[in-house]
Amino acid sequence: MIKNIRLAYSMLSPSLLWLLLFLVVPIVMVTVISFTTSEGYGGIIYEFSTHAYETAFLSSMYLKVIWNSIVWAFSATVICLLLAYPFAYFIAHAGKWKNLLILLVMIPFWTNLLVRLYAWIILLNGEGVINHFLQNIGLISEPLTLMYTPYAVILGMVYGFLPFMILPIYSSIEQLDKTYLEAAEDLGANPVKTFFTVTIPLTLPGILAGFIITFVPAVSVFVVTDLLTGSKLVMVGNVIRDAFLIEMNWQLGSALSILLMILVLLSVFIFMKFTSSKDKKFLI
Amino acid sequence: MKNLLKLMLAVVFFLALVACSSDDAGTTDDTSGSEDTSSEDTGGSEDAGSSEGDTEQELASELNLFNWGEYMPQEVLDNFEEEYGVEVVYSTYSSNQEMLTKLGSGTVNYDIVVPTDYIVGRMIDDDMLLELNMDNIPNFENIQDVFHQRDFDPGNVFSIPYLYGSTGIAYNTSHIDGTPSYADLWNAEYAGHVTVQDDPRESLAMVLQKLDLPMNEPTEEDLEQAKAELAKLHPNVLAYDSSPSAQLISGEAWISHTYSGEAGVAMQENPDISYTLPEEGGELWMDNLVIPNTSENKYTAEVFINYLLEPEVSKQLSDAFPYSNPNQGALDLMTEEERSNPASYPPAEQIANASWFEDLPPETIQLMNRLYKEVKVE
Repeated sequence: MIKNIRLAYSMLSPSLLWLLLFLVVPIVMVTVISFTTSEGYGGIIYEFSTHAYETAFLSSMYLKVIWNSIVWAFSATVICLLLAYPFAYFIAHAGKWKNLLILLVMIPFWTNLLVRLYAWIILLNGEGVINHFLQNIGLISEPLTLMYTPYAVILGMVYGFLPFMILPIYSSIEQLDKTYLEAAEDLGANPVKTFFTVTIPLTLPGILAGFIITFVPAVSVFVVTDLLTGSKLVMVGNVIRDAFLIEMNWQLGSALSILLMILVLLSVFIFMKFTSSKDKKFLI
Repeated sequence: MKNLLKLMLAVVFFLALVACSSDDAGTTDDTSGSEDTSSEDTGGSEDAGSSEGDTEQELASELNLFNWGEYMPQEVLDNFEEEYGVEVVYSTYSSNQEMLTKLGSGTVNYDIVVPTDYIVGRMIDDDMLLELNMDNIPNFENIQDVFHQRDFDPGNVFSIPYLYGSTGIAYNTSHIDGTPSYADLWNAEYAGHVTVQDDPRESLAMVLQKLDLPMNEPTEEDLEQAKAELAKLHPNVLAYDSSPSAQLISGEAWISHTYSGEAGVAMQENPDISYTLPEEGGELWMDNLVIPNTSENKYTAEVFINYLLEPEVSKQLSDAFPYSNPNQGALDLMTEEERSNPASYPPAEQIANASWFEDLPPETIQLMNRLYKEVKVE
């Protein structure tokens, strides 16, 4: 409807300005800093150096951390997907309860993730609610180690990011044209076959969107690892946070941020290529 | 449905905005409130100024204090303002690095900062500090003699001790017999009940002490050896945590490598917890009052430092935050029970056996950071 391209841009300008200030400028700054020289105690000397990248590549530790983070985040995302799809399907078919159920999915967002993780600590720790309950009903005699294991990070990420997966899948199931399902039934497909050959492919855009907006934040978490694994698991988010705030090595922090961005973009790209080779429209 | 989602997003966004802005409003209110009181009190301040110094040395109306968070009771600042009519603006930082970065940026103007011992040395080397005029700080004599001569600032030319503390072992007496040493952290019987400071410098210093290697000038081989030893400790560790008081109180942690202050908090809540400096030594640190060379209110800053060294005032500091007080006058005001708390006041022979942190060259610090991470990743 907008005939004038200038009008279109002027209406977009607040968001363009936002992107420029809070996306483009920081990325440029991080890129520049990653190639500067460290003064040693945190200062930045503006002389070209690739020292930070050499550190990142020469010690296999950093690449290993990035790889581990991708594996942990991917596992959490797959579990989210397996939990979220039936859940979203159920909500989409819940009739008048729909709005209430979606509201319930969103309510936890109103509390900060940090606060919700502290609640998990109260539930999970050796002297916590779950262990006390299991001991009182006599199911176990010694407290179970539920926290302070690397696997606790999966729980934290699945808990924290599940709504990100549910909401896009829900909206794609909701928009699904029921006449396709009826057509499949008329043509003799049983419900299982209909689900896998009609419903899943048609809701793939929602799955993809959910997958990406869950995986990308999950790969860079650091509060979850700090709180639930007792800092025993190190993800790349922790390494970058420590480089900036504790070690005052902004060059290394920036270089690792850049590497992480490249690897995440690459893995998202590979993932989309892989899942949407048949139908280009899913790329949107 | 879509409208509902949009509405909810809008609500979330709105709440976030409200949360941010109310924060800001809170701070502004605070400052404006204290400004009001300061203007009322200026009459009194002139008297105090003229009686204590010559004409050039008049008290400023405002003093900018840059100190660690949760380290200065508001009561102390309010009383100073009442007595001298000087408004003290208290800003906080959470690490020495943060303080150095902000000072170095040149955009701030603080009259007093409170760096840790070895950072004082670095600031002296970098010409960042003003020499103190001890004539304005007669209460310095209240500081215990042991803290008068310190390696980083011989003769206390630039710095005055504020509070100090140690890093040692907090332990649960119902699980651990006798007085533990650092070597006991490796005891397989305590597997899953050990916590270690989540800080490369602190945790590696502990391992170096256990191995009887120099904690303040380790060679690369020393550090590699310490890394291997820390890797052996890893299976025993419940958590790497620099504030393990909650785990100590709940009974999950039996033996913790931690700050004396953390142990003090746990001891208040759980009578089974005790604290000791280990036979290997343990580490000591002390925060110090210094005046950065950007300050324009040196005289006022010195008057404030002198005020903090008054026994009653100094006792207020360590009452509010349970670290160790180097002020003999304040110690004399404490009860016997307070003075015999092993977390705040370890026996003198343990203090003598412990080591102070010294500054390390950046290469060593970076190596320690990397080795510490490698232990966790591998």
